[in-house]
Amino acid sequence: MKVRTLIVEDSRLARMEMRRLLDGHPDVEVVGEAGNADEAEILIPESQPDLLLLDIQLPGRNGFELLESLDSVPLVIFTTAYSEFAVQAFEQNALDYLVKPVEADRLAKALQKASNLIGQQESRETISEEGAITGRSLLKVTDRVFVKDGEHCWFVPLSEVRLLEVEGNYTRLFFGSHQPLIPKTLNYLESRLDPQVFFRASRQHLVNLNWVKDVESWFSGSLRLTLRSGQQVEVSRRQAQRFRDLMSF
Amino acid sequence: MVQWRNNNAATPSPDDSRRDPNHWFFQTTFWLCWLGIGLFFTLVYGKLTTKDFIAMLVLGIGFLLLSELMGRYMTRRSWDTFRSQAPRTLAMSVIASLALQVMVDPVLVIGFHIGKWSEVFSTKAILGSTMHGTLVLWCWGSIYSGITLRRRYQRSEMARLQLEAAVQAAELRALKSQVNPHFLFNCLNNLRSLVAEDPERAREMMLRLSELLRYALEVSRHERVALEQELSVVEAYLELESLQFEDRLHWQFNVTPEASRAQLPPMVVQQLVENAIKHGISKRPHGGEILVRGSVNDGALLIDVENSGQLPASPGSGFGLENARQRLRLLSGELARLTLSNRDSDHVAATASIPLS
Repeated sequence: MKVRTLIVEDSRLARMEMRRLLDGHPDVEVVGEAGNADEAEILIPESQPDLLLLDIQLPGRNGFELLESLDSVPLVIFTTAYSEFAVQAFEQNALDYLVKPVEADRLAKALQKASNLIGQQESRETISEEGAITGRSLLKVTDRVFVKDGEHCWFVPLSEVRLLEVEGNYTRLFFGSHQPLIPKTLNYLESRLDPQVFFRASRQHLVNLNWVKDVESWFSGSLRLTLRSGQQVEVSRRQAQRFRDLMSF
Repeated sequence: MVQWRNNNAATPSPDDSRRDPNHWFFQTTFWLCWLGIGLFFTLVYGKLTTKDFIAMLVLGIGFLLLSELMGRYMTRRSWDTFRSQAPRTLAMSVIASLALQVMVDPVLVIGFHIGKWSEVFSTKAILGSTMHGTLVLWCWGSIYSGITLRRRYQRSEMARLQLEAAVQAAELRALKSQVNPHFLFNCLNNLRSLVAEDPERAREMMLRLSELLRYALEVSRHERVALEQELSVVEAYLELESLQFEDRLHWQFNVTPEASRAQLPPMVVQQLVENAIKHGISKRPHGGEILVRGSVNDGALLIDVENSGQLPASPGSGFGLENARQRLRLLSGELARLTLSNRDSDHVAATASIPLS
């Protein structure tokens, strides 16, 4: 199983250098190259890479902005010429980051991490495959989204997102102890998420059904859900019927 | 709050007058030694009576109090050198020993019924007590000032070393800011790739990099260079940046012969061009061009660096314009000017005016 890799890097010579380094890794297949965020944004959905080798400094939008614009992100190894604060903040969260010029050993380690993770993910996906009626373009719960809130960044698997809340044209994501905003509307996200997992409870909320712990009748035909985190979400009267159907009450 | 202020007011605490942490150790040791020696001689040459012992104890307390006063006075006055201090310490000791008698004798005569007024005020007794007191206090004062001077010397030595370190750190920072690490590491990475692709050109580019680094590291900020020389380094820099940007970077120099001979502080044009790339060209997916103009006008050298791009609508602090301005003033004097503005809808220009001395 080859790791499908896309190189995003503005310098042609740097891309060539990366290709040369990757030549020594037969388990890596370079599926494309992009010189800036716009090119990458087109190439990523087309070539569906498992892994991005992403330079943070890009002309126009930078590497972080590229990731924010993607619905779901592949695994990411950041590359940078000079490790700055931005990268330090990431270290705990990103798969890995490499400083240029890249040392072969460091690259090998980072690739090893990536292929381990990809292996894990695939086994998980085959288990959850039966019964899942995921549409071609719908996001799976194993997909990850990239979230940036000030100096903090996260790669969050959708399975860990328990609730999404309208905040103007933005959406607030609830996961772990965090609740950052992402620059996408709730309606758009609803259209991209698996309706079997993410249920539109009301105009305000999209709930991850796997996180629901308790359901109780609320006034005038509505329902109140209690999530495993203790958070409570109301299901509007209109949606309550759909919820009952879905849960086959 | 109030208490803190009161405490602070009670102790005169400019750094210098702060007491030695071992002060009381010294005081105790010194005066116990004095007492010990006194007791020893009394025992050897006669019989120690309770009265003698009390007299010595009272005298000792008197010495302690007076020496304490002397110490405070000496510290407050911050007497300079050991040599100028010795006679003054002697004079002070004479006065202090007289004061000691005025303090201690009434206590002994009235309080403890030791001795008689007529004995105490005999010329012989006064002379003897003064000589003894002066000798002891002078000895105390000399040791005390020795300790104080040594401490002060150590402290000033420490301050000197700290200052030296601060200066070195500042110089290092200046040096670092001259070589942009982002540029340097990208450049090395591109060179590494070029070695495989076009070894001859890679060899050439390594020369350009050494030229740039040598200039940035060796030229001192007090020196002046001809614009011509600076521009040849800028050219080397742009060629190296071309490894990164390739056909996304174009440049042109337009300098009058008079201007190319004009002298200016090193790295001034280089920094302007570097900023034009950092904030202009590198932000644009399709790159752009850089135009460098040089002319002499009204006894000032005018450098104009224009690049594709636009200033952001709200001028943020990110451009470090104020930094660049300060740096230019530092290097070229208070009359130097630096402005940054949109030249047209697609170009930004940085203009520096450097007075020619």
